[in-house]
Amino acid sequence: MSEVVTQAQPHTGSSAANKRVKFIIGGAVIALAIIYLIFTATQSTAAYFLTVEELNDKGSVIYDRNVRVSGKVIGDSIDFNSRDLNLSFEIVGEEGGTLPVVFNGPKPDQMRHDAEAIIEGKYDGNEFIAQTLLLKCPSRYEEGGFTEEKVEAVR
Amino acid sequence: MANIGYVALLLALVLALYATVAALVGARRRMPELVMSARNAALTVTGLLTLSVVILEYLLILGDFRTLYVAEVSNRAMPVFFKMTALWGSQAGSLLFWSWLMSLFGGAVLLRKWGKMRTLMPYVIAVTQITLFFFISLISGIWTLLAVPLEALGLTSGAQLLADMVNINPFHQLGFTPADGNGLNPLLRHWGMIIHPPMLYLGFVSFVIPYAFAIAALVTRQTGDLWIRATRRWTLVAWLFLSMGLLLGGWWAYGVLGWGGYWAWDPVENAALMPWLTGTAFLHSVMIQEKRGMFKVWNMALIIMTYSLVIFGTFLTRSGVISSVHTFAQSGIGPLFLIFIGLMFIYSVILLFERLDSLKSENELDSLLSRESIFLLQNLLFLAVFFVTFWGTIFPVVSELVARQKAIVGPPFFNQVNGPLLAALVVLMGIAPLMPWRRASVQKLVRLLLWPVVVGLGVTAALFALGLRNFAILPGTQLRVLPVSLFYGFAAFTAVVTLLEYWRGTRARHRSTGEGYLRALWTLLGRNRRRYGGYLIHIGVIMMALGVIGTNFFQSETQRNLAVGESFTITSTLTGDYTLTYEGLRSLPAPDDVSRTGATLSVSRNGRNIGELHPTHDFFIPQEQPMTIPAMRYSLIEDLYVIVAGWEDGGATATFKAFVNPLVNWLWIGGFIFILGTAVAAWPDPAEDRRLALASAPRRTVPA
Repeated sequence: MSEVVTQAQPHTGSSAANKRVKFIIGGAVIALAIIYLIFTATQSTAAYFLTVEELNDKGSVIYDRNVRVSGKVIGDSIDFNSRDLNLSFEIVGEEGGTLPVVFNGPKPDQMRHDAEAIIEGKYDGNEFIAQTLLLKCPSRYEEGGFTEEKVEAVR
Repeated sequence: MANIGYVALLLALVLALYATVAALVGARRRMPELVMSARNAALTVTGLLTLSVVILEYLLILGDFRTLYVAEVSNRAMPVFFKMTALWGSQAGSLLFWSWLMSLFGGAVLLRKWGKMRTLMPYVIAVTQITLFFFISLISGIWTLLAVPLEALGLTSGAQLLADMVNINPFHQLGFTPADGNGLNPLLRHWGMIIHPPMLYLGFVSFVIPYAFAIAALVTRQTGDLWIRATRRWTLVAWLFLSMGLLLGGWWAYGVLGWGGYWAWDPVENAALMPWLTGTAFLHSVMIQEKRGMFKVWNMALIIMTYSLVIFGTFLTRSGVISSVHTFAQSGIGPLFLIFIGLMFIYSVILLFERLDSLKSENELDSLLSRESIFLLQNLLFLAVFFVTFWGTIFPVVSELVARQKAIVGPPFFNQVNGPLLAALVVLMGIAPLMPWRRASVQKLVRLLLWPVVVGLGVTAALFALGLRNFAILPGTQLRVLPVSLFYGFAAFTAVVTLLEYWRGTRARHRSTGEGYLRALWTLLGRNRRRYGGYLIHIGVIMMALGVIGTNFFQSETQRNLAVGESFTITSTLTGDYTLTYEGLRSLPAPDDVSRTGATLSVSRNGRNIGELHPTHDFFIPQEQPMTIPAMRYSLIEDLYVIVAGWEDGGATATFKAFVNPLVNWLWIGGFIFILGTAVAAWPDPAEDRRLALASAPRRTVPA
């Protein structure tokens, strides 16, 4: 059954302090480990969110990194081969910079001139190889709202 | 009609403010009549908001498109049921709905006999009513009054934001009557999406109650476990609804959105997860305060955080600060939210510091090997998961402020960091029930843990030998060296411990009372609802872990363009090859505003025909919005999940995407067990209530 304890046994000051030190060190070790995990994971997974112009300015620094770029689709540049699911198009930034994009996957319904595209993937200096493609079109349904469509590349 | 609704809303606003002030003055000046007046005002607020909701429902059903909100979220073609649920279809209505639920809870808590809580109640009224005042103020249009002075001060953009807030008054009238409304967002016309928001809101608003009691306890210095016992059931109910909201959201995403998953670490999902995490930590650590009078400051901090995160979560969803698929359009309510959260948080923290002297722990932590320490560690891990989620969610804002460069982190970040932390929590869930209070001897622990550890290692080795040889990233490195079968070993370990707990309890009852085993198990559950309900929740979590591990590490995915008659193959990690053959595409009957196209695929597994799948593609004509609805073949082992991603030449060729999601249904089954366990733990139990009342005597009993 249960034993009734009115208060914890009185500790001698030093042993209680000792225990507290143990707990504080233990907690600190765990906290540091978690902060280290967050730090390394942020470093290895964070993706810059850039405009087309910023991407062009960065140059080779970002060639190996996952980046996200936004721009508007140029209608005339859209080319899609439905058999092998090769989609290529260009996007243009606000200051007129352009970026050729290739994407291996289905062509979204909203892939049309002036659609706002947010692409995620890697740039090799020639073309942007997109892994995901998010398209936003002004919505008639909600004032100031957007309809979004997101597709992912074939792996 | 709309005017009556609006007047009710304004009256509710005024009375909520009055109730706050009257309750505070009444408590300070010791004027019970004034406190009673505050109580009555608070109850009237509930009545007035109910009236507002009823009137808005009436306008929605009637199709009164002169009311802006009605025109935004409904149209003539919609069935009555969807018209009714359009109450929470967009910003204005859902804020009204939120406030109404909050007022129901705030009212219900006042109707109970006050008894020992008499001195706490004025502050409970003040906290709930000031929160309510803030939420009603957002939709009441009063903030637009500030637009003129701001304009005069030259703050044009701020003035514009506030002036636009007139649109989130649910009773705002247009100058003309449109012929028809816009209709509800097609994605929301699904029963999962109909129940999901109310569940989340219920979870959110009911966490306000324990927070209100905590603040009341701090103000009145009644910092014993009175407030914890008074709110234990509220907390469990809040947690129950929040859990259900999260689960339903995942289920809806899986069944409707067609991307093959259920959780994407989207900011708005995180917004609902964060208070759940701190709330879960709170639920566990209050047990230590009840049993041993420890962790008092910690519990206060946790409930303050949970409340702040509830409001922060609403803020994230409403303000459009972090772009996400869920967010409502940008609006001026963002800054107001930040100010409110900031004020409440700073006030709570200052109050907590002022009362530190009355929150002294009654006991010391005795040993690193004790249940108290394990609970502390578990709390730290839950807070760590919370912090990781919080960091990842606000990272775009932080990086823009600090580095002047917007950067984002996606699901890999969350999975890499939270994955191991959650795995550690599953293991702790297995160790904690075996840990004695105060101090454990190493020998005893080894004896108790031996068999579960053996089973866990056995499962790990067996699965590895059977060919489950995927590896996960070792935390802190980029090396894929951690065998995934180990995670199943963890789950097996904890499952054995938990089931043994049931077995020991049942056997002891069987021996002492002579009841049959089933009967003994039933009474065991009934007599110790908190404990065995809690273990049931743990079993649910283990089942869910099976699904989470399965879908994270063993999902396969293929995408192909096919002509009619062609086929493609997708390989399952567990059961072999599925071959899908494209048989054709045709249009299907659908409601007037939808054009529906369905594809037919015949499916065979390892060469044997097992039926057909019909993924469909809906196009909502008025909204110009496409929606892909997956077709699934369910089993306990895996789901085959197929969507039609597009087609050419009227269906001569079409593109399909297929997933095999191993063990995913254990996620939903586990979720059900989880909810059931929470209900068991929260179910009123007179005998237990009496025991708890006795335990509030100054002497503290501790099981040896």
